Amino acid sequence: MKIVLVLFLVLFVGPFVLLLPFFGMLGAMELCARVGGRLSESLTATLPPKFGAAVIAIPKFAIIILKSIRRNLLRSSLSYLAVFVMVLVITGIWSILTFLDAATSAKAANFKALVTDKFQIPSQMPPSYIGELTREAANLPAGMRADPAKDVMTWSFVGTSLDPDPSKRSQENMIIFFSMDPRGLLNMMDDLEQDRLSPADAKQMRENVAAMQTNIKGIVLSEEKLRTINRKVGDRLKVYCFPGQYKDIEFDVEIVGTFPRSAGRYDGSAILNLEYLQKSLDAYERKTGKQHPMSNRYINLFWVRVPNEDAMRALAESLDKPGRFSTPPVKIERGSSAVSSFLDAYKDIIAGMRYLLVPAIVAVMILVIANAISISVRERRPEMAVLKVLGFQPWQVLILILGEALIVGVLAGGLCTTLAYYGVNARGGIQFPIAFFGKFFIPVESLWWGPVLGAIAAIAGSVVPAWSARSVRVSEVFAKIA
Amino acid sequence: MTNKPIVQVRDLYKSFTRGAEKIEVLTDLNVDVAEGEFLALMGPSGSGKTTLLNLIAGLDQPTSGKILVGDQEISAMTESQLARWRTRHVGFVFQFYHLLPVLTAYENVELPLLLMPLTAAERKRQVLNALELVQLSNRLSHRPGMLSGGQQQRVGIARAIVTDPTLIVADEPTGDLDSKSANEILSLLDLLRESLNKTIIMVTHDPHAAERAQRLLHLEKGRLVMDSTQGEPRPTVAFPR
Ligand SMILES: Nc1ncnc2c1ncn2[C@@H]1O[C@H](COP(=O)(O)OP(=O)(O)OP(=O)(O)O)[C@@H](O)[C@H]1O
Ligand SMILES: [Mg+2]
Repeated sequence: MKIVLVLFLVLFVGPFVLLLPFFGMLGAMELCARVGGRLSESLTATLPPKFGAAVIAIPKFAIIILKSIRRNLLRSSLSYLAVFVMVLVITGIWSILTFLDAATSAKAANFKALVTDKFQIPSQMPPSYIGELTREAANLPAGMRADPAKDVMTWSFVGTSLDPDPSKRSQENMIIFFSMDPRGLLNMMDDLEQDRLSPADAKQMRENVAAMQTNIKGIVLSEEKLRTINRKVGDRLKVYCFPGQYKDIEFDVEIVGTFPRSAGRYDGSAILNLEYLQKSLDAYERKTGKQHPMSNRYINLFWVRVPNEDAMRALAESLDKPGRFSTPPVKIERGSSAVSSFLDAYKDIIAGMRYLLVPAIVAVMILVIANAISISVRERRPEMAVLKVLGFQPWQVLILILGEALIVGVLAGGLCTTLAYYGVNARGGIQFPIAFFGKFFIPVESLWWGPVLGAIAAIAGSVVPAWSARSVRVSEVFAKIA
Repeated sequence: MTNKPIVQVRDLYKSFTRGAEKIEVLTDLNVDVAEGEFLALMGPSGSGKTTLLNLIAGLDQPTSGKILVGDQEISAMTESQLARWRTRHVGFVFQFYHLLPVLTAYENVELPLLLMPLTAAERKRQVLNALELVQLSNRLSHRPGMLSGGQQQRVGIARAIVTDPTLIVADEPTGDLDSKSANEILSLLDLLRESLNKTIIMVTHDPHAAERAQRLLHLEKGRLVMDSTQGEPRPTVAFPR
């Protein structure tokens, strides 16, 4: 029953909904052409007829083109839908690829370096490394050094569950925390940097941080995670660490805030104050009289912002000096290189999408347009011939045909990426788990390249049929007809 | 009609090549058409009537020979010069009307005027005049599909005369019409000649239609075999060169 409903929606309601803006735009364009025609007629009344007539002819041409699109509305609609769907697929692929590109491309200046255990995966470093690594970074020569207050951050991954029984662990009751100093949320988290957020979102993050600082039991979650665990801001809850990791540690946390909705890549994430983790480990030692097995290796990643490649090299040298960081030894790399090595596993998929799938879709799109336009040109050969008889120049005939394809292509591409940009992003991006990214957002550039892609496909697809319409030999067309 | 002829065809040859085959369609043709003349062109199918009409109307170029319309040698023009020349000097009427189906009667008639340097007011006046003349002032916003064959052909005629051309050419304009509509169309052509002094060249298979013309040319295998004025046959051999 459900599948029937879905099929019905996809096959009938969906296309109709997608077509409405197309029809609306066509109508609006025709209205504009008519109004423009009227306006240009009154505006050019004082011009010499030679120029005036040329100006007036433009909206008239536009009306002829628009009427021709309307003439076989089914065919135009099908071309539109085909281009729409294909641009949509390309938009999705492109959004993911640009996002991954940005994540893996080394930005020239001001990048984040990642310090981890040199040999062990997962990386586990003692808490004393926080201070020591920070000091190394802060003691680099001027121009290279990091600001301990703004440029460093550590992550400890803490897996917890709302249910103490590990056998009942599920998506609905699991919370994986990044345990960290809340200050890092303002300066060091990708896409949460204060200057990248809207003023309202930036303020929301500052309040989150303030709340986590006054109440070290405060946690910040995504709205999505709140929904899956069915809690709300202000709720207190008890979470139990996975026995395989922080055995016998539990936290009494209070939800003090959520991530701004624009920070979709943090859907599913949660932040726990590092201080609370430390205090809990200390409390364990006081209570049991022995150290917790994790208490000397709970720092997983150390992030530091460096101004340039030289600074990173200088830091690498000082970390390598004998006797400094020996248990365990550490390595430093660009954050983006770390992401790249994660993504290596997906290299073939990504290359396939980029170099096979996208060109294939573009080619199909061009063929669809070429097919529709050549059928309509073949049907209308006598009409093209009549236009020429009346004195229309070949290029004017060419424009009439190209214009038709161009309008359908640009509208399909433009409406597609516009709807996708606003629609998909408002609904939280594209779900496409790859490496540790789960969500992708459609970049704002799609608003211009959607129409451009549609236009290119339209021109590529219609240039041959339009050229044949342009080259119609009048005497031949009528010799055959008569 | 004693003036210089408006159309002069001199030593006209036209052949088409289809693959390796060369088809001689018009052979050594000489015709003069006077201003204000209504001329009918008859002959069996394949005799070259349409070909001759197309050449006179500047839709095609002769293989050899000269065609002058007014004082312009159209056989020496380039394709784009011809296109511009056609807009101003030739009005076409087709057997199958060939109106653009998406445009209204008004817009169809307006079409050739889009290529001319006219003000909006002039253009509008000319379109309305032309439609008035063919008595379709009450069908301005009808599309061709909503009109009868005879009405469509009248729109076709309005489109042909709207630019006030020197020459009106019609290729079997009544070929697709019943006799009543055909008569209306022929009366309309008569009217154009009488009141506006238009020169009309009409290809037809219909002897009744041909009767309406003042002069009849008979073509056979690409040669002129008969030239009769107002019912007086005149063998073309005696036609002065
Ligand atoms: N573009 C062309 N290419 C090749 N042959 C052509 C072309 N146009 C006309 N012909 C040939 O020239 C000859 C004369 O054709 P035309 O159309 O002038 O005849 P017509 O007298 O108008 O005939 P109908 O009464 O059937 O309309 C025909 O044999 C035709 O096949
Ligand atoms: Mg013919």
